[in-house]
Amino acid sequence: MAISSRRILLARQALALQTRFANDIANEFNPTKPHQGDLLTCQKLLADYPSAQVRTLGPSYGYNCHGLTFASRRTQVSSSSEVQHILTEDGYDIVSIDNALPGDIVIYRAPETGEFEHSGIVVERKRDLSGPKVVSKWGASQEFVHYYMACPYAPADVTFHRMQK
Amino acid sequence: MKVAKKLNLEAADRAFATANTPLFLVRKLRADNATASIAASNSSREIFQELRAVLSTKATDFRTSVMPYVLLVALSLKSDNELLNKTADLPAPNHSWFKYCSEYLIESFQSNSIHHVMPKSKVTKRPTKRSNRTNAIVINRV
Repeated sequence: MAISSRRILLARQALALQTRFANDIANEFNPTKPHQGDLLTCQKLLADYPSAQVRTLGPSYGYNCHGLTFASRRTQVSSSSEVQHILTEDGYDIVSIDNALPGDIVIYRAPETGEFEHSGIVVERKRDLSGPKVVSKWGASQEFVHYYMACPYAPADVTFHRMQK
Repeated sequence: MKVAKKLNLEAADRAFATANTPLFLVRKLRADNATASIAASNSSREIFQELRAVLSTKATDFRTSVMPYVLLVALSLKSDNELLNKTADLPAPNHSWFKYCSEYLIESFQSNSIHHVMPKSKVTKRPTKRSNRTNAIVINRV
């Protein structure tokens, strides 16, 4: 059956998002439409990372990287502690970069603060020194497919994680 | 205020466009020359007044969205604890990360401040037993 109509959320709101242990994860869906001129900023951004491929039409505030990785692109998860909560309660194990496979997730932590500044999903395993390719959302900008270190969050402490069961 | 118009705020725009978390934005703005330049060429009161003004307007694009954070970080560079503390009470209905960033910067400022706490003491010199060449400084707490 085809989806007949698309409803649009107009207000900022949290969605019901929980870990496997049924604990709530703080989040916020932001329906604000980006300004036309913001696309220009995104295009300049892309010029800094020529190997990255854009995957979406334009910037959006609806979801961020953690929302893509852990909430199927439905909302923003902006708190580092919430991401830690998900990793722990959903049972993610760390895998080495050489063993990272499509579907594994990648986490970028700031070396100074240890904060989870970015995350994404592996879409192509490591073939050479450039490492695996990842799909991730760059803040309010767009979704990109990129080599895992060719993004604005490098240098960072990067770890790969897999939910095994 | 002498702020923003002549400054290159492209890096700040990009920081906002790519920020998934508030602390990433703060970290990037702390390293941005434009933020440092605002802090260097304006008084903390001027920055605070500008901050209050931009918070009351609705953000329409990345530039207007990032400006409150640029000014907040610039203010945090001024070492004016009194005005920085006041930012936590500023209403920011259109800037969802503002309060969190403000509280983070206030806390960082307090933990990085140098507090001169000296115990009452009397400093004397006496020869050490191990060496005759140097005198040890002995602090006797009183």
